[in-house]
Amino acid sequence: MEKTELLRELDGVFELEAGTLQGDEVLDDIPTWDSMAMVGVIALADRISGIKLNPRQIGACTTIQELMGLISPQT
Amino acid sequence: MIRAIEYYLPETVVSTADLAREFPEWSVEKIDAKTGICNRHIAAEGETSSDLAFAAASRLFASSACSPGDIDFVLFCTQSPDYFLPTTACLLQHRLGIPTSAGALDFNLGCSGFVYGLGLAHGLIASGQASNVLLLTGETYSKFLHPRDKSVRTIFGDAGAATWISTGSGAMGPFVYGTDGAGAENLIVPTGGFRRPATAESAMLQQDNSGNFRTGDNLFMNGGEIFSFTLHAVPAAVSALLAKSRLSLEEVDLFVFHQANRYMLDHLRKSLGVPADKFIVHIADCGNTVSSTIPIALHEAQSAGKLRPGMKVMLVGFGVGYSWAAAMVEF
Repeated sequence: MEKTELLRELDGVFELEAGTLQGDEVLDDIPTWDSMAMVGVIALADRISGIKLNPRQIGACTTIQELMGLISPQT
Repeated sequence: MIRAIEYYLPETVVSTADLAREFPEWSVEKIDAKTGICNRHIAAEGETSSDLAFAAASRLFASSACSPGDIDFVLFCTQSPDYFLPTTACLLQHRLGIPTSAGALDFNLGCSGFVYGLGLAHGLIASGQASNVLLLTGETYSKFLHPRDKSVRTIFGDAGAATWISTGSGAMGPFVYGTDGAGAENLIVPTGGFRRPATAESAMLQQDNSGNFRTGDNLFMNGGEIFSFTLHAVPAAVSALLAKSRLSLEEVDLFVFHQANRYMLDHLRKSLGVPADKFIVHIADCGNTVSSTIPIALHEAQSAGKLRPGMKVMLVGFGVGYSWAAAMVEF
């Protein structure tokens, strides 16, 4: 999946306007980064990469860029 | 075979609009999009899981060819029993007028409980120990929830269900089971049992990172961990059951999974490749009623004509424990 496409998917997970996320955002600075967004990230990784993430892996990420590396390692 | 199913929902209803007023940071639209739940029925003060199961069984006896005198075994699945002891199934045997020659037992499981109960009933009947089993499920999770914990109040509702299982033409089984107690801490009421008795300290209010409040005496759910568990356990259970049944996914007529929430069900359905018209979703007006979701969904699918005689139906229950089970049932 292209980086831009993945960022748009993450905009949806974080309930942001399409085009908001650029990749360098710090997760804790995003107001909608909560337990529901966590579930959305797990679902997204399973859907687009077949990767079954657990919350501890996601919790170790500090930025959107790191999250993208988990969700889609090829991007 | 499953001969008849009835269920009962308590009278008090908490709508999504009610919750949106209590939690203004969440909108009706957001709750609906994530859960697919519009209404949750909540047991009244003093109304217990056995009251809900009793009401469901009373409906069953009123509506089917089965009477209390026919029942020779009562199984009651609950995690909110009336007492530590005696066994709530014994109280229900007496209250329902079931003969004293019947066996009765409680078993403590949550969202996998209905499928486990079918497995127990099947074993009792196949081994000649019983002929007419009354499988009751009843849960009042609402009594475990802190009023300020929106993560669980949006999802769970209370209900009771009664299922009559006896010999007959429809096949039950095969069954597959799974257990992973490593996930116990992710869906738990931490205190109040003998491992950690309720104390003044356990009753202290805590706030989590998502702004939800609860004490140790309340139900805690780690939604991310539960979702992650489900993605591992459910597809594997479906594959194992298909292999054991010597069936392909396409040969199954209907899929009835534990109705956890619509978001999870949609994701599982799509990842498994099950067509929407073969996949029952019935959660909008009752919420996640734990062990009663599958019998409620089966009853409603029958009423709507989606579940018809002769159909091969896959049932999958999964949740607290972790515990999961899947069964192939012919109606």
